[in-house]
Amino acid sequence: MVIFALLACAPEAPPPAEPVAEALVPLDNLRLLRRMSLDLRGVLPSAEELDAVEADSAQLDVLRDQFLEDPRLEDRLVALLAEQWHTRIDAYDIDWYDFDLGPTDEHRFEKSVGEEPLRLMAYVATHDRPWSEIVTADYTVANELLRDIWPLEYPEGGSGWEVSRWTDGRPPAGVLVSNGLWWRYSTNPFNKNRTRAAAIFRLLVCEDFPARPVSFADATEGFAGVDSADRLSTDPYCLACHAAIEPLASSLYGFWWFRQYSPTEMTSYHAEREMLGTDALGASPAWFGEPVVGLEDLGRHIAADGRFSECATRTLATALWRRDTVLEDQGRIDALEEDFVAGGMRVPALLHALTDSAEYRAGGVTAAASEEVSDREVTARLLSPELLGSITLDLTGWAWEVNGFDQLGNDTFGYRMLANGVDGEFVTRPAQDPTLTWSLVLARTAEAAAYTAVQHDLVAAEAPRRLLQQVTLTTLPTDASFQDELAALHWRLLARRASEDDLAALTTLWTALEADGGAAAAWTGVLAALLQHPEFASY
Amino acid sequence: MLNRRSFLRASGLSAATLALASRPARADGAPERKFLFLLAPGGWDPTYVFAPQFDKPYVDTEPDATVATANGIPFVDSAERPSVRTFFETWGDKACVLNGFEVQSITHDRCMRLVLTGQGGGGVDDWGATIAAHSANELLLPYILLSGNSYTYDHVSEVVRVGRTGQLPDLLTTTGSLPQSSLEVPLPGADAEAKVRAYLRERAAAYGEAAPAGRARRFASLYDRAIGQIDRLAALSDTLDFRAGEVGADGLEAWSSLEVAVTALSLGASRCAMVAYDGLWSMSWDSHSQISFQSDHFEGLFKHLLALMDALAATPGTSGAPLLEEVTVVVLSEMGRGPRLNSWGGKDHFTFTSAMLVGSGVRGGRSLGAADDYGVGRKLDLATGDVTDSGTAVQAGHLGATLLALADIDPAQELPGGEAILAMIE
Repeated sequence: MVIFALLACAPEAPPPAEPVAEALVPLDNLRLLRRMSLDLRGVLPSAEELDAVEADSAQLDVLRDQFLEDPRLEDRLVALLAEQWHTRIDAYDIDWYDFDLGPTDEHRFEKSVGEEPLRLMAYVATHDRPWSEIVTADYTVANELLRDIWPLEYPEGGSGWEVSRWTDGRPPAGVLVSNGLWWRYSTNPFNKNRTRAAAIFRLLVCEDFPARPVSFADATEGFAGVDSADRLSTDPYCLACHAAIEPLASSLYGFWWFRQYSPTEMTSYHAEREMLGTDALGASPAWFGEPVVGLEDLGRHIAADGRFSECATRTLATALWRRDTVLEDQGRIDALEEDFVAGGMRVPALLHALTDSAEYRAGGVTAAASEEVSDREVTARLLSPELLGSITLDLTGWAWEVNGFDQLGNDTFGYRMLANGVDGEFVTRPAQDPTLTWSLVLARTAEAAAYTAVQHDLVAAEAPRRLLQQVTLTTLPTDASFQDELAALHWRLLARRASEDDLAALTTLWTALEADGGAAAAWTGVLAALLQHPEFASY
Repeated sequence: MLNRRSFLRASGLSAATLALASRPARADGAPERKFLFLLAPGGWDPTYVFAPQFDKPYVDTEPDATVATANGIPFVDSAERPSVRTFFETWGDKACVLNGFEVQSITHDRCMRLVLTGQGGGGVDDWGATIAAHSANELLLPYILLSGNSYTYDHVSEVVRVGRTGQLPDLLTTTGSLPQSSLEVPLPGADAEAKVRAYLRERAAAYGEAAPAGRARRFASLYDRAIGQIDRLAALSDTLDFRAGEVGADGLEAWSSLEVAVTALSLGASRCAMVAYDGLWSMSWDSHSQISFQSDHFEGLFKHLLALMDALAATPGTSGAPLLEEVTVVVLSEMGRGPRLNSWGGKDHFTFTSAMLVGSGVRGGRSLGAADDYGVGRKLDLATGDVTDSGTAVQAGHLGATLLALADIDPAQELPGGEAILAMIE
């Protein structure tokens, strides 16, 4: 069995890679601009940006570089990393009421806790700092709510997410000392930090120990012992994984809680417990055989591990290619990683390279593409609930928020999973195919956003207008401004010039809706239709 | 890899009649078989019901319990679990227990994926989604997920999640039945929505036609299918109360979800349904301490099962015959619990576990599999069900292949190397 376990760890030679670029059809520049804008800013490109690229394709790269410096990239990285770090869950072992917060703070509490490690990483990335800082930083990133409930020094006069420092003496080790991470990946007296160790391996060096098959079929004599935990440090079969897991779990005892569900225990770091792991697990703290002294040292070891930079590359490739990386990608990942490391592990440069990649820029496959490539490459992407929310907020000012809950960002009362989002527990990867519930969430979001825009722009006629720029409630289809408005909406929302057929279909829809409910209802319906259009909902 | 089944089906059937009537798909003219998964998340201890192991020297078993047999099925009997006895006495002739199969992991997430897909990694669909995708009917809710886990890859669009608090129907009204789920803006009228949807479907067709090969075409096709389903869902919601998660009759925590599942199956809206039962007080089956809670969890589970079987027997299926003749109930947990008690009086994770199939197509009155002195499963002759050293080490994939076979799907097509346990099939 030991042999099998070792074989499972042996590197497998990657198969000869199919020349992916030759199998893929690139998106047209306008739709590619839209994709980049959504992925890097979370909003649609403006009409002026579309005009610029239409007039001069070289502007595409110019704008992409601007997007990489846009402050909204931070939110986007939080959303993209959340899909793989799974920290934005709906409930932790303790809740808002443990901190004298009100019920309307429930969602803000959950979101803030889950985002803390993500915000730290997004800060490192967007401030062009070396990625290794995510495991060595002597700060975290926190907001006012976290300032009030955690031992943090938050800048005076600050607002929103700000660089903050722990005041409870925890070591400088970035996400390794993140409350948000360890509240999400909690442990108990039976698990002894092993779940946390597995999370570090998966998230930071892409070693997924639980993915390895475990069979007890031939280990019968081992079960004569009383406590199965004993076997983990003695049975060679178990040691194939636990030789690495136990020492890492042992290093995390500063986050050991004597009482579960205790706000006091869970909130603060416990330096005095750091050595308990050695006794509890029978293993001294170490990183793959190299002894470590404290989490600061652990962070340095992780940052120096060759797999760390490769894992970062894979993580961001997965985020932007909208699929898992596979063995066939190894050559591409190696090349991207090499440049990433050579450039000092700066994320903007990696994002730049990834958005240049054929996999990212693809809008279809050639006739010569293998079925494998055709099935694998996500050449049309589905709007995630985060993107749907950020786009409609930007366009119309409407956010689906009820009693403090972002309805596209929670699953207890909202619709994140129903909108094909990742909840981090039951759904751990974003789905790319339209589903019934996704289309329903899309419809309701579109209808509400359209209603809000029409009420603002046409019914209340408030300035400045948000979306409808040229028409009033008395404008008729025969008016030039009517057709101009439809064309402008089509351009802005779909990144494609409307054809005569497109305009005719929209005019027909407007006319039918106007006959039933008047001009405001007609514009609401037309706008809702465009906000659900397949070319709006995909990118 | 992807077989494009859902894509092609969506392409071909999206304009078809959207009635709920079920088409027979089986050689004997019977309606296609449906599946209701009843999941016990956290990892149950089979020695409390399914796998009597009192004679095993290295297995800690429940004190004050005995072995009993009803309808040919040996089970662990205890005065604390009257529902278990009643179940096997009443329905044992329709039940087949599978003991000693292995789910090759010891972490919950991985085991759940394994027991529902046969594989530990991504890129595969679970049994429910796969079976739903093979339906001969254009189902509105192919695999309705009331609670529990589902894993999809190619068949994402087959799974319809109702939401943790049953909030799906709140998307059909302006004021959700949960205050937190309301939309707070007026919805357009039904006529207006219909006009918008007609426009969207026309645009989806145009988009699909103009798109290059690859995902955009697939997107357009599945988009069209989803838009087309919305009106059908609104109509169905008049008949089907989706609200789940509330405590139902007799304190059965998961009953309201099971009731929705039964209705969806009986209407022909779904081919598969999943409901999770988290144990007494929803405290999870993960008994690392106080293993005796397993007794309470099993009693609760079998109370639900008894109510479910009564409902299946009393509810007509799409053929008019009792739904029980059309539905296979799949009762399973993602892992088992180790043979020995730990120092906390609980049991830790174990790869060997049990499952039970009940109802349509199941060769009832049988308990297959066995364990050695250490609680490790023994090999099985898949055709006869005999325990033999020359047999097969049974794994989750074999259970999945059995479900596929019951669904009239060739396991070899969907599950490389997957062999059904024919001894479980009548």
